[in-house]
Amino acid sequence: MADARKEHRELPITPDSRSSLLRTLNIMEHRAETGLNKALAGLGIEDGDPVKALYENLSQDGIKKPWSVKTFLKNVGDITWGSFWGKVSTISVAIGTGLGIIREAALNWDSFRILYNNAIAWSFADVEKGTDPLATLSTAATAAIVLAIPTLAVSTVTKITERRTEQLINRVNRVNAARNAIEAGEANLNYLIGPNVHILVGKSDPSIETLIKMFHDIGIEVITFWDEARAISPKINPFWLKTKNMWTRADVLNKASLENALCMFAEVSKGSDVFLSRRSGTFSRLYEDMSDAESRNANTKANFLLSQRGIKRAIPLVAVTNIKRAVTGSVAGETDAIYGTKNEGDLYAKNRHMHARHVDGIVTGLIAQISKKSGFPVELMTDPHRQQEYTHTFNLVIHDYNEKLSEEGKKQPDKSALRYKTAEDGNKSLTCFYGEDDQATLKLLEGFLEETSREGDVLAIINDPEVIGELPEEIRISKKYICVGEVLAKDQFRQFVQLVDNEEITLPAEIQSKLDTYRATPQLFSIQNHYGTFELDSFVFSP
Amino acid sequence: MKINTVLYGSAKVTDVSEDKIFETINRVVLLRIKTMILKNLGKEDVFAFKEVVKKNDPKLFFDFAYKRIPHLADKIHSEIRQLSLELQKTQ
Repeated sequence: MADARKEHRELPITPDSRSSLLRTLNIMEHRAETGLNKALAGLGIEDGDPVKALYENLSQDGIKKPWSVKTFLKNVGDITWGSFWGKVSTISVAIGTGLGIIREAALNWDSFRILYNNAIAWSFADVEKGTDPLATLSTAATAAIVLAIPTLAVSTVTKITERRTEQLINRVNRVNAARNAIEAGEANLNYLIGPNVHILVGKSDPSIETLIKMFHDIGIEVITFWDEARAISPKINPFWLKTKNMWTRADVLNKASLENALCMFAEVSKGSDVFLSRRSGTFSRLYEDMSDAESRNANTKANFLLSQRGIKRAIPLVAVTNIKRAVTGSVAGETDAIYGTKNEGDLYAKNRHMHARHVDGIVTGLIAQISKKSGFPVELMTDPHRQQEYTHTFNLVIHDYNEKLSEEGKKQPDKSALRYKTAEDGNKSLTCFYGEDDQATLKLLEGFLEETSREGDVLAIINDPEVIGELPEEIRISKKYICVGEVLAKDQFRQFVQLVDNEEITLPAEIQSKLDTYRATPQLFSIQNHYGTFELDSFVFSP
Repeated sequence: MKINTVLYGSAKVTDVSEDKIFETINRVVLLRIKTMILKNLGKEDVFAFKEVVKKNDPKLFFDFAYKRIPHLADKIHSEIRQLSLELQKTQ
């Protein structure tokens, strides 16, 4: 039997054998048409009945469209197959594996699903949800039949099947390897995606999901960089690279489709923490993921790698950080030379294509506008062990804010200046709730919302957009909150748009056109809450 | 370069005769499934059948058939296997 099979496999595919098979199939088709007519007549549906013609034509030609990678990941990774498709595919694999045709794929259920999906794609059907199930089914059936026909039976189909099966298995292997690499954050993305932005994330950042969505809205892919594991779902963004907390590694950056990179964003550790240690520049590896120096160096390295490929352009960097963090240096030697104090903002400003975004400044600007609108001076409700640190920082930003207004000639002491609550104000204040994390803020609201809002007003400051749903109703429904994640995402995106406007970033025409439409979206660069609509650029510290 | 080129680049079919074979198998399968569905409907289903066919939406039709005919998936696959066997006998 084995010899016979081998002998048959070596038979050439001839036009005659194809014709023979087609003739058989044509006869089968004619019989099937007759059978359908009889079955329709059996139900009293005769010639002339419009239902007859409609039923005969009820089908959809296979859509000749390969999957995009997103569709592929969606279908392969996330489909929960219903009982119907489960049965269909189980039987298909039984036929296929029973004949040993696809045994080389060493199938488990997952890899079968990929194979099966590919078999359908191979037969030129589109299995995305919402397409015609009959067309999908019939093309799936074609695949099943072709896989099911024994090699001895039809030399033509055998040859086709063998070639296709080999292609299929190779493709499945490649698909599996690519999928595994993408899931593990180790894929070489150079060949996979077009125009993209990089986001160096660290562990997590409250603005990341909103920012990714904004870029996807205008057709730009996003590659995120995480230290070990990504904290967002692959459904939101499949492309990521693992850095193992080393942000400047060439082997990682070289996989990041640098030629197509439009911009790099860095969410510097604790850069999104509104009132935390803005004057302190100390970093400890135990607690920090990415320092300001690393964010700048990652960008410098990426541009160096780009130049090594003969591309003379710089990928701009937008870093979310606290620009007032001090940069210290000591001289070892005989002298007591002092070279002055620097801060991180100074260092970002040295590089023409590096842009620091300062969350203290933006959120303080919003608080100032809200304070002015409510007519109350501000106070900050926080955790006892953060009180001293936050008070110190808050005082400094109030001071900076008022000074900035003075410099710009906008100071109107009675109206615009941001003022801290004093004893004379009694309980009449805008109480800002900001704990050391969102859960701490929620706890503070639970405990003190009632008494703080009795005479004055309240404003919750939360980091993560996810937490909005956990806010007390009186805060959530009346929108008495600022979401730092939303603010930062909008601010970073606005900076990106500004770089495009300044021609520091050149977009492909199609994306530029999408951006031109998208920028008309209401409140794209502002936030709306109980107190009104506020622009984000009202107050941004310059370094 | 897009990922689909990488993943599916080798899937391109150039042999017209192979296409014809697949297309014909497709049509035969579809005709036989449609016939099988009709054979499994009763007289009491005719009105609803006509109504759903008039909507000319394969998805709606398929939903209808799946609700009305128990074990439709098994029946469809039985039909496919039968067709496969018939093909083998003729070659």
